[in-house]
Amino acid sequence: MKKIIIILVLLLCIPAYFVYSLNKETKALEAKLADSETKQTELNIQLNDANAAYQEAESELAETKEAAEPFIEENEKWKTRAEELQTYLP
Amino acid sequence: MENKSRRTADILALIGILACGICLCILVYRLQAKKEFLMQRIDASQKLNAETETEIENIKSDTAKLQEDIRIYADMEKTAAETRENYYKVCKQLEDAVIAHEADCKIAYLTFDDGPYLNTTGKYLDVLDQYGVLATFFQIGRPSEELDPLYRRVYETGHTVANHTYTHQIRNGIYRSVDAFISDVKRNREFIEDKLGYTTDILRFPGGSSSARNLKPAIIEELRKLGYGYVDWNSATGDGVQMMTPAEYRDNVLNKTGNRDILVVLMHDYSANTLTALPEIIEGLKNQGYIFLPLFYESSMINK
Repeated sequence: MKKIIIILVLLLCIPAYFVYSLNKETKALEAKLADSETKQTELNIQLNDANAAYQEAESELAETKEAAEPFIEENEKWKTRAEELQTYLP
Repeated sequence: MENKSRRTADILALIGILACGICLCILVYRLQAKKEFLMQRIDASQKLNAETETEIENIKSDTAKLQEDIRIYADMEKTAAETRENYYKVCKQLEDAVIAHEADCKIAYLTFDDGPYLNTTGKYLDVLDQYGVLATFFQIGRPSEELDPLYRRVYETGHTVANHTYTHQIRNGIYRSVDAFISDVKRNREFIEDKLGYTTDILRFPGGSSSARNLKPAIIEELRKLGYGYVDWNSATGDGVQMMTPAEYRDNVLNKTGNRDILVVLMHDYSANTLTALPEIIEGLKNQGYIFLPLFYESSMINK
């Protein structure tokens, strides 16, 4: 009977090892998840910054474009005039 | 009795071992479940991170495109000026081709002296707009706020704004001395610069370059130092000399072209009769094969 008990106790070492190993793995996974979530927070900040920079650039573009409107028109006029003249060139 | 108690102890030990075994199995099961749960969350989190990184890259790339557009629009004033310069280069190519008889057209430079005038210059601009014609305006200094829009309109439409001295005072004025002439030219150059932010580089002597008589060579030398070229004319309505009918002004131009390759037509934008004649002058010159250009510094008609 003693031998059986000893064998059974030894057999208990197998699930105990699994528990040890799994516990170690879950700890590592928890750390990995924490890292990933920290990175997510940083990325969200970067995303907000990028969005803010985009919005700023968009409004700056609208302002710059409005200010450039007469020159855009002027530029097109001179281009068209030059193209028209080129038709007379040999 | 001793055997019985030993058996009981063995059974208890077996039960204990069994309980431990069951507990460990449950623990393994739960840890396995936790591991799978964590792995799923990590996968989801990493996927989200990758998506966020892609989104950030896309936004940054879009922002860079917007900034490139901002740069293009911010430089648009410069670009328009460069395109205008490029137009004058094409004018020069065409002028060279006309002189070499290699083009299917001749060139007429319509020029208007002494303006702007409040009552007439705008009407001249309307007629030129109507025909899509660019001309050259030799302007003098008229410090009146009412005339500011006309100075601007002439330039912004694309006509060449040129210097005709500030006072245009021929008798006992600008031709007294070289210094008197040059200081009047400089005064008008600054006057136009203040109004338009544009520096003139073409000049017409009031009354023509022959009015400068013996001062002409010295004045031309000084003008060259200032970066000016000057131009006279080889065709005129005659509106600055004698009052005539619109038909006579028209005929003075159309009947006296001499089939020249390049015409520089002198007119004055104060003349109501020239204004009346202008559409027929434009159409008549077109029928004779002329196209209309504004004068530019590199033109062969500009004396330097």
